[in-house]
Amino acid sequence: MQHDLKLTGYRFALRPVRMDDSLFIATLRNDRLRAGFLNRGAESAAAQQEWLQGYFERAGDYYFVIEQRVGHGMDGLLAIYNLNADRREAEWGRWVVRDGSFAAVESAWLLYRMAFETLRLESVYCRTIEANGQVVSFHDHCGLLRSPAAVDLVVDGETRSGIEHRLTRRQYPETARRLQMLAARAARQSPEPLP
Amino acid sequence: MSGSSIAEVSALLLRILEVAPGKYSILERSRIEEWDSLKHMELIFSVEERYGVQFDETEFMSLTSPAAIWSAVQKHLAT
Repeated sequence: MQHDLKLTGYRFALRPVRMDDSLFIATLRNDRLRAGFLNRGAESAAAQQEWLQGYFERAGDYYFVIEQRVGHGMDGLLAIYNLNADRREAEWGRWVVRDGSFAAVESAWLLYRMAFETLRLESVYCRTIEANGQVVSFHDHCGLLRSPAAVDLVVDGETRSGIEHRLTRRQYPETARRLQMLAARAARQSPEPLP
Repeated sequence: MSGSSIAEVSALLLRILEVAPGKYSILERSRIEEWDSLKHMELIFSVEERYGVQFDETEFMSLTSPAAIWSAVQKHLAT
């Protein structure tokens, strides 16, 4: 959807995806090393623009670029979507960070701040292909709880076994504290609350 | 000296990842699912504290094995 949500961290920030990000999105999502467990999606900037046109008209879907604060270089993508306004919950995903970037930890912290502080959600969940071991491990180590039942995920037309993790508002402060501490230290800054 | 220090970094890595020695025959980030982005940053900062060095952020993602980490530590200790 068209939105204007932005959030600034230490070295990185989240800003809304724009139409002129189409080449970056198509390129990153078709990098099988970095995004091999995501739907390949549009394979060209033109096809990505067509997908974005539909996205801009879709409610409850917030797609972000992970951007460097200095220089505004783009390091990755993530999104909050499938928002259920009644239950105050949403899914998050489309998470991919370019090769060589250390934005993963800080972008996850920004994502949870966006979900719980900006959008005032009560919980967020994410679904990861089981074979994507380092991302499953990341969510485990962040303190997210695994849902008891396995989930089937369809990626590029193939059904794969997946794991659903969930973070609730009650658990959020501890997860945020840990991520913020690491993000601040990576940026060589004090983990004081940001304005 | 180098060998024993690589071994020391290996032991630190396994402790941070909470992985039993022997679970992985090759300690390379791409082969270890527990070596995720969060644990990677915890490892980097633990190594910095242990050896009194500070890595540049451009080095973070290249520290993908105990040998690479120890090599970077040595480089910083020499400067």
